[in-house]
Amino acid sequence: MSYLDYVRQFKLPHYWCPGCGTGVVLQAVVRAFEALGWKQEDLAFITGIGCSGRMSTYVNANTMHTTHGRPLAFATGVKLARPEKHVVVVSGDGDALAIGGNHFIHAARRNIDIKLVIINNLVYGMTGGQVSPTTPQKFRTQTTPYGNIDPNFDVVKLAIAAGATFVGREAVTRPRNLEKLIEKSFQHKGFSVVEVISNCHINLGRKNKMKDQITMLRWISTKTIPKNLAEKKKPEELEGKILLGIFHEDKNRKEYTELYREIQERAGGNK
Amino acid sequence: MSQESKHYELRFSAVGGQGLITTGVLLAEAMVEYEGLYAIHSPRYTAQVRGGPTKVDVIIDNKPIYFPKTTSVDFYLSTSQQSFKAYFQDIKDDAIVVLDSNLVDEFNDPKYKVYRLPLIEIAAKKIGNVVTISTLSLAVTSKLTGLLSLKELEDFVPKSVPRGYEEINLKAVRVGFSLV
Amino acid sequence: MRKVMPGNENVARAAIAAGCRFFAGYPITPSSELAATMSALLPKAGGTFIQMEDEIASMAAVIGASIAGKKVMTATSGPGFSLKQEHIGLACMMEIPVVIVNVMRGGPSTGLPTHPSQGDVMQARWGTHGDHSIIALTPSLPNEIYTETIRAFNLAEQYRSPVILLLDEILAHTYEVVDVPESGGYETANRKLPPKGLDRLDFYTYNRNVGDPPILPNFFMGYNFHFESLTHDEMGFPTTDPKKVDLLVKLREAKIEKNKEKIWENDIRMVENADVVVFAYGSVARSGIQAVEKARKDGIKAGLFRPITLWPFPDKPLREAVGNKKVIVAEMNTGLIKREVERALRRDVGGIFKANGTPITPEEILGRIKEEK
Repeated sequence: MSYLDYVRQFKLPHYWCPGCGTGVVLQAVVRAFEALGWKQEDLAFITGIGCSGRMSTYVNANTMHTTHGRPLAFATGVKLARPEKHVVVVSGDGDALAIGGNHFIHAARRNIDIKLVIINNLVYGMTGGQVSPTTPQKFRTQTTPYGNIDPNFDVVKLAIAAGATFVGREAVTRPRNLEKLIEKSFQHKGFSVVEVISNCHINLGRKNKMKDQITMLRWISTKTIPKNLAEKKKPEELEGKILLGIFHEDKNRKEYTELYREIQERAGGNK
Repeated sequence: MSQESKHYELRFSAVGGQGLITTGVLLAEAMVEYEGLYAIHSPRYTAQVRGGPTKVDVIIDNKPIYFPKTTSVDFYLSTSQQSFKAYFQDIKDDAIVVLDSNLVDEFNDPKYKVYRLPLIEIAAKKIGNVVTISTLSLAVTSKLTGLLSLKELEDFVPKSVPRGYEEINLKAVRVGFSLV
Repeated sequence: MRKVMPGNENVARAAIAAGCRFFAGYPITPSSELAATMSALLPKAGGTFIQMEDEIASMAAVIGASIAGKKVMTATSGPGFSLKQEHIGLACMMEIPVVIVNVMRGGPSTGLPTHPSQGDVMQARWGTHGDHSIIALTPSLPNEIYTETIRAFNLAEQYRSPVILLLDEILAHTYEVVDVPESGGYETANRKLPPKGLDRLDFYTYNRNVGDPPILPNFFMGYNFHFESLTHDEMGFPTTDPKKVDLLVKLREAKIEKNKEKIWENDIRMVENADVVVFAYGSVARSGIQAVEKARKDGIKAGLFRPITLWPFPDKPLREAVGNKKVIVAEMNTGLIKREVERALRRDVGGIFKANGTPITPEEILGRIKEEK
């Protein structure tokens, strides 16, 4: 099957702004499906609200466009009902880390086999560009007209601390690396998190002297550095840099639906 | 239970954790099982899980019970002064009132048939485990009201208590029946 | 099965008998024992129980499991019911079968956690935002709690709708005799599914008659179907086309409104020759039954109208049964359903309204009957 078979081509052209990184993530995700040969009928693809949320319209599988911040809670129900199926969630920084922060840390704590991709474009894009938990400090947004004072979440550290068993980060500026990372995370048994640094030049860039996608993508390139290259740098050279790569992989921790199967067996109910 | 007395209301009050709620539960279950009657019980807890006043009301009837709250209590057993006072409402004039003589103050209202027994002390010392207060109280209640016979309790109690506690609870039932 | 058990356990056992195989919940008084019973029974039945991180998540999880093909339930009380409203709306929009138990306690806010109330009856109907139809049931008696729980699942499956089962603290916590045939002997309904192997483009989900519930696939049936929280078109994809929006709104409303006669369940006692009719539901109706029986013994012609389906509201059956007779509404709130009774009868009615955490007694209702007659 070609990666295009995983796209509802009759729904194209897509809804995102020209130059938006969300399309890059969509392609990386469907290429990972192709590489793994997953059958569409065995695949649930669930999103929340925001620009990332619209991705479920375009993925040709069992899809669900849910409420703001809660796709992981729906996915938990789907996965527990049918543990043998693949369950993928794509979310955004506002969706997963602000309104959905609670669902995020608890899905990670359980280590339920859901594959989460967070498109972190550093802003609430769809609603017109308001500050999010990952908007850099000093940046101007619609709701921080004098500059942002809010400290940020480090998604990688948060995911590891909460108990995710596969945690990685990439940027839309490195699409091939992104595909490989997503594919690897999809192969992991347990709760996996891939954070993707993405661009919103329309609703964040324009307010911060990055009017077009090229300028913003260049900025992302200079802000990010692959982990293996960073290891050779001095600490002062890495100040303010965002590292890319795999940060955590634990293959030993038991997955949640497997643990529940043991409960069913102990209760004498597994047929 | 005689044919005429078709409706009987009982109340057990204590301090949370003492085990009197269990007495109410066991009584209701036994009445359903052995007498084929309708029985309900409504426990009232407070947010304080241990040490707060608690009570359980039990209603027994030979018809389906619609209003599930007591309105005229025929029998009241209490093992705590605070709870005894807190739940002394709707007690019938000729009601049987059983009080733990160590834990509830003197109470000599001639309207009621008052029995004072050191229930918790008997459970702890004479029977040998304070948890038997539940079945000891069940036996005292059964004897005084005539709701259940010793034979029925000897059959019911061993299968209703945690495994390993059958013998000691049987002892409590027999002691309870001999007390009053 | 003849067993002494509280309403919370009763609902759990009935749910298993109805085929419920997934429960997600969050602890809250006075509904917690329901979740606890499900946590023990479900794995034995090959089903799944999960305690989620909050009420919002537990409502989401049951919707997810329902879309994946399970019969599902969640249970909560006042404050938790408020949190569940977000996803009750989603279940209305996506047309997902789910059963939600709300054990009513005093409110608003944290209110009276260990005391009964009927203050959520309007929230059950109108709690989530936007125009929607919904079904809510108010059983009163122990055997009825069992059978109405099964009916709640059947209605959810048949009409692809959230069904709210309203209990209160008294019904949930009172241990009483439940005497019903062993599980397995009840008629259980299953949602209609499309036959397998259709070309998905031939499969127009919303292309149905007004009044028919939709036929939707479950996940993993081979249809790459899209469940959408936005207002959607006949294929399930987002739309803002006013004509299509109109149609969807109408279809969702009609599937319940046009089938009201089948959904209504009322217990009407001695109303025909009555001078005074007591209108009561849930635990208060039990006081109503006792009061009316006593009144008849005292020679007063009293009757009872007891809705077991509260929503959709039984306006027509009420009008037909009661006509111009005097009506006393008794409810544990400030008179919420009284307004519906007045709307149905097109006149003012009186009643007994109590929202202080104590039950309405048979004597209070009897006293009122005597005043009215």
